[in-house]
Amino acid sequence: MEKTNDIAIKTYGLLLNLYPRSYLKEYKKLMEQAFGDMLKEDKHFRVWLKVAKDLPGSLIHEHMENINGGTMKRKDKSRLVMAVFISIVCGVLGFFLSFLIGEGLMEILSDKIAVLLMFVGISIYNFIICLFLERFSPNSIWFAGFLINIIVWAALIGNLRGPGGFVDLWYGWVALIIFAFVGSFIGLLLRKKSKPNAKNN
Amino acid sequence: MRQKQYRQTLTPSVFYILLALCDKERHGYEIMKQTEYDSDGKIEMGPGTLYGNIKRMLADKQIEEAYERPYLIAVDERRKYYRLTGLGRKQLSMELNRYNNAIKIAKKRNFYLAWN
Repeated sequence: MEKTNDIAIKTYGLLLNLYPRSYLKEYKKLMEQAFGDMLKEDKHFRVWLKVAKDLPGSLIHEHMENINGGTMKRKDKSRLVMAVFISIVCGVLGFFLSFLIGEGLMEILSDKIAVLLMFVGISIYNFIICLFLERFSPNSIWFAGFLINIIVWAALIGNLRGPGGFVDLWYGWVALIIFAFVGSFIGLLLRKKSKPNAKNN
Repeated sequence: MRQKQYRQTLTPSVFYILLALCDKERHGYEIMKQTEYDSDGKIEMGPGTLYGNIKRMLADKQIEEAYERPYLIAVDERRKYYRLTGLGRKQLSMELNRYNNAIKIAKKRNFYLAWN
């Protein structure tokens, strides 16, 4: 049971890296502690459900406050701007890449809302991945961002070759979620690599 | 600015956090449990919402960190305990008065019984 709790706390700690750096510095340990307490007194499923309800809203809130409230350092701001820029560039590039290669996309292109949804979805996904990368390894964000997006788009194009559009395909969304996790793990690997540098700094 | 802050109504989360701290200082998880209990389970806060609110309440000086805890026997030193400030206490009283007045008006108009 202890081991399961440790894994759950580590997973939660990983998710917490999506919060702004200044916020984490102050509250990460306390949040992990509270999460650990929740696990001790409640069923894992219910705790995760609570976290799923809690995380998106507070994440957006903290990021908005971090940007608007001026608590963000100039260095962090430039990194966030870079992450947003990379997200959009990757989204646009990926979109045109799949337009050139993916045959199935032609079907989706007739539905403008589906195209818009797909583009917004991919851009948000890219942004989350870039946030992860920015946390773990700021120096390799460019390379890793593109690398992960190439993998994602390869999977998407594969999906598009099936009947119907990507938006209608449930396994397309599943693939996206799986790749989000893959992205996180790549982020973790990069973190391990970049640790010695961080110590030197 | 402070005057404006006084007049503002509190969000449900902030209200219940203040209420949880009105009798004693508590740490994060205790606040979470107490707010859930006090609100009959209507306010369910996760760690993200809780510490986001705590951060803002500390900045607004509604609560403060309790460094000295002489009367607590078993204290976990890793935890941070929070308590109400004078301002927080005043804001909570004002909010409770507001609710109290609203209930009086509802009772006067025979709405309270029908709704209760």
